[in-house]
Amino acid sequence: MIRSGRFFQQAELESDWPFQFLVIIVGMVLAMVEGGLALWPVFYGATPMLSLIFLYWIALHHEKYVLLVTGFLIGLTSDILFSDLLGGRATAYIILLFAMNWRRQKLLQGDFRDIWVEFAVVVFGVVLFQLVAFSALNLAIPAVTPVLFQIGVTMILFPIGYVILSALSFAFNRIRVST
Amino acid sequence: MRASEKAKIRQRRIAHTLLVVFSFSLMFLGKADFSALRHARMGASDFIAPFVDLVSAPIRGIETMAQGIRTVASLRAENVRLQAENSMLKRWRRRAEILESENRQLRSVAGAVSPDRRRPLTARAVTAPGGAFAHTVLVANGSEEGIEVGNPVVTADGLVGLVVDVGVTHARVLMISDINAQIPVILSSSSWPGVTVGNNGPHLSLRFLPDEAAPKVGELVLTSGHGGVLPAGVPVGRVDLVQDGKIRVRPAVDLRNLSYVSILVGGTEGIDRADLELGDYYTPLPETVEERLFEGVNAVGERQ
Repeated sequence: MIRSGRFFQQAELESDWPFQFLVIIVGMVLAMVEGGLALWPVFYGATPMLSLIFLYWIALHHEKYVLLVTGFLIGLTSDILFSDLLGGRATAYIILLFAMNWRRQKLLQGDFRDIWVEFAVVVFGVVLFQLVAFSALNLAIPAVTPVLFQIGVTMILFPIGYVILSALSFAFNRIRVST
Repeated sequence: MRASEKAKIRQRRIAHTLLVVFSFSLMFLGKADFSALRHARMGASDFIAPFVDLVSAPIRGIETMAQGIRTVASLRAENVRLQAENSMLKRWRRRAEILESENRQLRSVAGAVSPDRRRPLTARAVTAPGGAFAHTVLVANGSEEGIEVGNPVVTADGLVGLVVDVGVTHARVLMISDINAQIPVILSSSSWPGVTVGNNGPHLSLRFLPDEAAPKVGELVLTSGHGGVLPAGVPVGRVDLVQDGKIRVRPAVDLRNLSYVSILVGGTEGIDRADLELGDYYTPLPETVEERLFEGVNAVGERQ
C-alpha cells in the first residue's frame, strides 16, 4: 500500500547530506595536510592554503555541497592546528562563502584567468582579514615576508589544484553515472 | 512561495547570522584566554594531533628521502667538514675541561648552587609552525608524562621555547620566534641583560639592552634565568646584525628542522602558575640600572 499525505513523503534518496559531509571531511583533511607540509623547511611558517583552494573550487562548481558551517569547520581546524587566532580563519572562510554566492554566476561565465584573478583577491582578502584581526587583538604586526610567501605559494598552486580537483570531479561523475 | 519554504529560509538566515556572530565572538573569547576555552582548544588539539600525525607521515617520508639524497650527494664534503669539526671540538673539549674546573673552584668560593631540578624528557614534534600568525609546535607528550605549563623546551643546540598548553597526550610549545615570546637574556661576553622578542619570522630582535652595551656580530646570547621559569645559560641565539640601534639575533636552534625536542620537566616549584598569562613568563627586565644589575642574583632569579 502506498501511503500519501503530509507525513508520508517519499524518502529522499538523492540527499546532498553525504556529499556535504564528505566536503567537510576532505576540507579538514586538507587543513591537516597543510599542517604536515609545515614540516618541510621550505614551508616553515607559511604553508600553502590548500583548504582555501579546495573551498574556493567547490564553492564555485558545486555550491550545493557547501554550507556556511563547512567553511567554519575547515577554518576552525586550521585555527586549532596552527594555534592561530581562534575563529580568525573560520570567519574569513564564512565571509568568502558569502562573497562566492554573489560572484559565482559572473565567474562561471568568464574564463580561467578571471577565476584565477578572483582567487588572488580571495587569498589576499583572507590573509588580510587574519592580519588585521591579529594585529588589532595583539597590538603587534607579525613579519610580512612569510605572509606574502604564503599568498604567493597559494596563488601559484591554485592552477594545479584546480586541474586536479576538476579531474577528480570528472572521474567521480563518471563513476556515479556508470553505477 | 509556500509558507513552509518561507519559514525554512527564515530559519536558515537566523542560523547563518548566529554562525557568523559565533565565529566573530570566538576571536574575542579566544583572545580573552578563558580557562575553559583553553582546555577545549587543547582537547581539540589532543584529538586532532594523531590524525595530523597520520596525514603527515607520507610528507615526513618524502622529506626524509630528500634529506637522504642530499646527504649522499654531499658525502665527501660532509666528511671533510666533520673531520675539521672533530678536531675543533677536541680543542673545545680541552678548553671546556679547564673552564669547568675553574668554574667549580669559583662556585665553591662564591657559595653558589647550580640548580639541578629539571629532568629532560624527549618528545617528538608532531607539527611545525604552518601559519604566519603563530609559531607553536605540538609535541607528542602531555600531562601523562608530567609535563606542566612553563616547562622549557630545548635541543642540544639551545632553547626552542616554552610549554604553554598541556593536554593529556600532547603539549603545545610556544617557540622563541613567536611574536608573544619575550625571553630575558644576557650577552655572553659582556653579561649585559636584554630581552629577545620574536616576530613570527626567522630572526629575533634583541631589545631593552643598556646604552653601554655593544653587542658584536656572532656574539652568543644566553638565557639569563631571570624570573626563574627558564634555566640560566641556555643558548638562545647569536647576534646576526647590528644596524641603526636594532640588533637581530639568529636562533641557536634550526627551528625549521625540529623532529625531537627535550622538555625540561620540573623546576617550576615556587612559581605561581595558577593565573599566569603568556606575557608573565617573559617579564621584561626593570628599566632602572640598579634593578637591572645581576649582582647578587642567583641562577633562579632570586636576590641573595
